[in-house]
Amino acid sequence: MDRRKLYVSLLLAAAALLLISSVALAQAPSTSGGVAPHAQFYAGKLASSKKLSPLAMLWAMRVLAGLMLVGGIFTIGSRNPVVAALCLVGTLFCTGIIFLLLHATFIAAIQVLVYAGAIMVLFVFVVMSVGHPEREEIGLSRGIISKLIGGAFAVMLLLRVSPVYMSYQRTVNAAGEIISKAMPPVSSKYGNVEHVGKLLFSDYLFPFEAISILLLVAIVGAVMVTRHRRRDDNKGAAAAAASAGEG
Amino acid sequence: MLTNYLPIVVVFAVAGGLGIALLIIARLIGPSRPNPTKMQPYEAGLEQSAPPRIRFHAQFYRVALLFLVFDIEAAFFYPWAVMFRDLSCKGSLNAAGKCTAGATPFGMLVMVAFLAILLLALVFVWRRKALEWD
Amino acid sequence: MLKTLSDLVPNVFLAMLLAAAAIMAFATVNALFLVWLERKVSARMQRRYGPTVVGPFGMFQTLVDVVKLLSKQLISPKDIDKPLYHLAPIVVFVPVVLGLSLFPIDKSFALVDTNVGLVLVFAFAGMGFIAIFMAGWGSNNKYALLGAMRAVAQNIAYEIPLILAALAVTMIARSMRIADIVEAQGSFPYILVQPIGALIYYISAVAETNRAPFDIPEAESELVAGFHTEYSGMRFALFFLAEYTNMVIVSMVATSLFLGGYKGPLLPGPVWFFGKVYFLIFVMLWLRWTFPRLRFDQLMTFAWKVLIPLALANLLVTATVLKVMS
Repeated sequence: MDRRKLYVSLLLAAAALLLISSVALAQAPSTSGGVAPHAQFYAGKLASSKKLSPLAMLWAMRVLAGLMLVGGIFTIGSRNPVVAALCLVGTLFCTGIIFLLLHATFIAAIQVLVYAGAIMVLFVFVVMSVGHPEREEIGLSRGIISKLIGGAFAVMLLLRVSPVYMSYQRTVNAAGEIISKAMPPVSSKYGNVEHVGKLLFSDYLFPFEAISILLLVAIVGAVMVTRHRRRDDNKGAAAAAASAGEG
Repeated sequence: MLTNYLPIVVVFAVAGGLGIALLIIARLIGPSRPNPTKMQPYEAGLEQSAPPRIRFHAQFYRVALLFLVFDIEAAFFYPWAVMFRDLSCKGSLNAAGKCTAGATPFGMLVMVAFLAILLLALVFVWRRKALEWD
Repeated sequence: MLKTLSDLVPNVFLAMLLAAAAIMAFATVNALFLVWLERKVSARMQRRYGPTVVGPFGMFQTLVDVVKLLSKQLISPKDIDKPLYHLAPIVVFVPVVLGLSLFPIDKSFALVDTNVGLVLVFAFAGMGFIAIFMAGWGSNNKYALLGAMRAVAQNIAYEIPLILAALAVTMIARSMRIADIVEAQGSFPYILVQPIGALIYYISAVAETNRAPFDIPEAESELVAGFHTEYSGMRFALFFLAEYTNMVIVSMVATSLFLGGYKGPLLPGPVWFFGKVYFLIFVMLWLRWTFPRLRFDQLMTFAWKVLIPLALANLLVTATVLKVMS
């Protein structure tokens, strides 16, 4: 199976998934009726109410989910590791915007800062020190077993995620209000820095302090790995790589 | 509240659109006469001697990991920095941001404990000479 | 109450389009102005005979440059990584323009007003790293790749002290909303309470913009032009625009955090704000034409061994002082 076919089939599968879920949503006992929220949204309701209508948010969510799917597919399917890493960043960026839609503003900003910035740089530098990455064949394995395992995971994920998605739809009524207890309306303070801080320094104090140990381990690991490799390399190759690496 | 972020989306779209538009205009206005010599990668007037995508030293990776660790540390610093004066006060702060209920070392301790372990890491990295660039 | 543009103009989409257009116009005009200013400053500082021919004070020189850049051939070298190479100029351009929209330029006006403004500024700056790397990797040129690796390594090293210095200010102001931070600087700007923080911030900021004396990624005697070696015409212009806009952004952060933003006697807020911003930019030009370039290892160890410990110490001292005072 060549790569183009792979992309096309993955995209088709994703589109089919979205279609099926949309149909399922239409069938679901939703109290959402008519297109009034749409019309109001475009008529500038936004300007007067200063609130994004849940329907607009739902559509934003769908678009973002679609983008994330495409990004994810290219992340695992791309032959070029740098392109793959960039698609991953795109996916994570969309995740950040979804956090924003859920009013978790601080988490959203941190998501973009840490993932689109730091994690990306880390991945890219790994790719750079692996050497001649453009010639390496990274991509999907073609074995039947890996396909089975992957498929099983996909089904599990779908079973886990789809009820959540459906329950979200049912929480929006015709007037664009949130009616379900599953997603209660939030105050404007929800998800901002103070909110996160309060939780972090009370309920989650122990995990917070434990994270510093984790970071310590990460640093020690990084130093040991890079030191070790340099000592083990034969001298000539190391010197060549070093001089090449620094111009 | 979320509408506050909508201008970002619009600016994003307009900036991207303008960038693409400028490139298209440049393509339309400018000449397009490629030839093999012109399309060679620049290498100070020489033919390209080796594939440019060389293998870089693992110290770049080490720096990236250090950055990641400190970036995450900073991410935890943000709520602490914003909340510091609230955390150092037994009660809640008044409107002027002054504490009336008596001080507590909690705000300081919570970060000193966090930071001490990270400083340990920094000292370790320093002692192992992993901060040297060679 | 801080007003954003969507409060002032009835139709929200029209408002946002206007805003976007305004920002774009500002980014472009600013780059034109700064290029002109840089040439003037360099000529004065090093007794160069700068371009003084085209128009009054040589002001039209940069306009002519724009026409030149627009009408030049876009050369795409062979064996480039097409998607990365072509996307990089756009990806470098968009985040800096986004960053511009986050600052309150007057007591009652900010384009985007969010309570995580400060984090967003750094987040958008972080997205620039990706673009630099895309350009370096996509170009199929060793100078470009080396320049990109250096640029990213340098940017990430200086990002940490930058954030830590800003955090000390956040602690005093108790907010990350930029408008709150400016407002919190009542009668005196934070540079008086945070001189070390301000210094750390400014040094790191100059390093973040990849300008001399921190311009190792573009050290022309070693790396030709760094990560944008293979970019010509309008594509190069977008990198150029991003670089100059980046200078404005880091200066705007410094102005808002340490110099009291739009605050000042007599004159209206925007005048003070942009006055301070352009003063800081002038200092950057001054630095560039005065200091020699650092070496890469000096640059890296300076960030990790001097600035980061200093910034951490600054943070702890600030915390202690705040504790004692309250």
